[in-house]
Amino acid sequence: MSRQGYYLSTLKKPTLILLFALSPLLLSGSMHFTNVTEKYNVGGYSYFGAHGVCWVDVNNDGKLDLYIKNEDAKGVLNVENILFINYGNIFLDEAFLRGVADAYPPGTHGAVFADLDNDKDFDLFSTTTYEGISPSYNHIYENDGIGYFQDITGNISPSQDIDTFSRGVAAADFDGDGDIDLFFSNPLPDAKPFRTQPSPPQQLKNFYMNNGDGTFTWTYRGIEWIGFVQGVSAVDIDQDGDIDIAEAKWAPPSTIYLNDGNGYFHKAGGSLGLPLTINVKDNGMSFADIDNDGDLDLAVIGAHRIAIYKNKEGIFQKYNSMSTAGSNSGFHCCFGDFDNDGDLDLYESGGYIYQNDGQGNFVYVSLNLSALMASLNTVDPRSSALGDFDRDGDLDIFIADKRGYNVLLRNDIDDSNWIQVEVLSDQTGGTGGVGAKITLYEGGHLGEPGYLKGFREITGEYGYLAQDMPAAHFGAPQSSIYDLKIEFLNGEQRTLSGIVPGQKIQTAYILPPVNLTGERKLNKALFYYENIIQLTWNANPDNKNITKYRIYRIEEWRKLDYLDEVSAENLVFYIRNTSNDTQYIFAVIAVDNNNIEGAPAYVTVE
Amino acid sequence: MRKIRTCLFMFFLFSVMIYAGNEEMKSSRLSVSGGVYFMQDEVFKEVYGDSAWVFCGEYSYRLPFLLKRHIEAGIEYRFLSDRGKLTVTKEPVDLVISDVAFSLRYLFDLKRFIPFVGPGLDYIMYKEKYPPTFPVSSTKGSVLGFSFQGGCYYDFSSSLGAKVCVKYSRAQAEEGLVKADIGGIGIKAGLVFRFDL
Repeated sequence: MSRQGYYLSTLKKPTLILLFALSPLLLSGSMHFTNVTEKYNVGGYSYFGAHGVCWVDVNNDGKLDLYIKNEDAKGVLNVENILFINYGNIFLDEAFLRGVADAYPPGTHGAVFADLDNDKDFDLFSTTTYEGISPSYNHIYENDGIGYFQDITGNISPSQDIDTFSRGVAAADFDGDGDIDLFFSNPLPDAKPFRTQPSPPQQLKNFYMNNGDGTFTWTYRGIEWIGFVQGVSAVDIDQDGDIDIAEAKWAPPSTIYLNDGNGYFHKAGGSLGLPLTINVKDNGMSFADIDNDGDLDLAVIGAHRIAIYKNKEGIFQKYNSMSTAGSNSGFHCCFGDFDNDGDLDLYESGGYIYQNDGQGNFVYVSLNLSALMASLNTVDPRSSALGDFDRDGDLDIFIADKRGYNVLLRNDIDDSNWIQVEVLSDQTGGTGGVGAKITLYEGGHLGEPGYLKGFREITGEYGYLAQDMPAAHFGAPQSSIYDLKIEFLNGEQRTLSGIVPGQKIQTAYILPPVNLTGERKLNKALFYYENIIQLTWNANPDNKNITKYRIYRIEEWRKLDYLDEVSAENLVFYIRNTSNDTQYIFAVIAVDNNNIEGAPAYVTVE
Repeated sequence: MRKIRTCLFMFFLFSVMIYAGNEEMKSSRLSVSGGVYFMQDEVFKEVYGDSAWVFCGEYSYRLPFLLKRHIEAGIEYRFLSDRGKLTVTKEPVDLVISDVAFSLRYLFDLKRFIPFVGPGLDYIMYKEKYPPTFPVSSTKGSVLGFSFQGGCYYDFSSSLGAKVCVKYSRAQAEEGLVKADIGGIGIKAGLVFRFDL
């Protein structure tokens, strides 16, 4: 098939030709990108080597930062990963300064950010790929709240003693105990040759189960190693309320492992309809609802093709297939509503972009419209991740290039036909909302399948080593208003109605207190006056089972400093020993009877 | 209770009947009294309420050499203690004020009733104790003030009498940047014992 690939479907040829002829008119002006790599200084270093990429706000300043995993950088040993901190008009690499350079001589591949200790910041799980130098261990880094990390790998028990060849990783609450667990691929030092299948399959420990106290237990949970794994995705594939795992493999078939609800996995086999294909060299599996029917469909990329599977009542049926752009592409594909028209489009990393016609059919968007030449000019494109780094309501694309400079493509659509949903805190008390299912409906029709306008599931790393921004982005034409349903992993739901497009919704499992005010007061006795700050608030009527409130002071660089807690009946707190010349910022957080903290309410006292 | 009131009334009636015919004037008086003090300071009202109980003991001496013994000098000890609440956090605070007052009064001898008026000089000591969460544990100090009082003795007998008094005082304490007006009006009543030294 030629580089200008078109979709194949069951349509008859004349219809196909007609549609192709009309496609420029249909798509006219809908998508356009600008290469802003140099402007924002995110090309990386001349030794290249980029593989995995993550969009995440590590320092809690409201702007997406960028973490890039580097491996096999030409002529460079101890190659460091890159952490580009977003300063608004430029990004600066501060990986070494912030403790996540994570240098391993030949380099590393995959990483995922998740709130591992439920303190509302993104911690880091970073894998290492063994290339003849020991030790080659995975690393866990704890975020201090303002984007500086401490290596807590020593908290894994038993201690690592096996070099790993890890690529894809996953982070989710697999056992449903209220904290994020970790999974990594290729838990052995050597996965070569890549195209063989060991016999029998090896039951190797490939999970770090979170104990909830800062420690992790290294264990086996049913996912055997049966051959070289590239990308890993973790979503609720069978929609039964727990997180499953999908592995893209080279020699054996790419496999889905279903969670039994307690964090133990079994191979789904052919029960989900995926073909048993040998030696396909799959690199990534990406799940998304491409036809807006409320379930997750699938794209499998590898071997120079993208295979689309539609989910029909839990069975994945092959829908169509398209060729990848070139001989070096084919590592990663991702879904995003790039034109904000209400359905998910498809982008191939280092390749083309395809517009969804609303039915899950993807139509090639010409380079004249998309201006994606920079994408095609990448040398060895690997992962790519989607994030609204400039906060203008559209999805931008960052492409990691193993043998060239990385590329940042800014989406120029710049309209108000969008809604973004961010989960500030979930049922674990942490931030990010991993596993949360977010469904958009036409206004006035909450919960009615016929009025579903979009379905997203928040996930960590997926496809080939990519982590999109931890917020759901929906295209939402301004001609309507919308209702929103957020379902957390434990089944609890939040709903919002009457949402006008053009805004970012921040929600939480436990909502912030309302009407939080802070006042300076003089606490008087007859002979002494004390300068205090009085905080008052009201309980959020949408919360249940709140037993107390915790009060924090936001110190410099947004670090949370715990002050005290008060019972749920006590809606006032006094801060003493304050200075009249200092501005203070405080946060009040509701806590439920399971000791889960909610999203904070903030107040500034001048 | 009714029996006690009846006894007291009978005692005073008896002493009046005895005194009625006795013209002798004893020079010294020792009185104990209690009453209410209304401090002027607005913060005091917020913290402790409108008033506080006050208890006094006084020794006074009718000066023989002035104005035909119509001048009386007195030295009084007054004690006030109250518990209040900080204005915002409502935590408990305790106040103790004690003062030693020197006064001169002019006595109007009207048989059994002896009204009096006169100025005084007060040396006031105060201490306020705060909860553990407060920046300081307590504040204490002293200040000089002025007063003016008016009242009336009533002699039941040559040795026993009663006293009612209204005293207006002015005093301002300063603790750092805080100024407290601890003057006010005190109303008290009590018993007086007369004797010669």
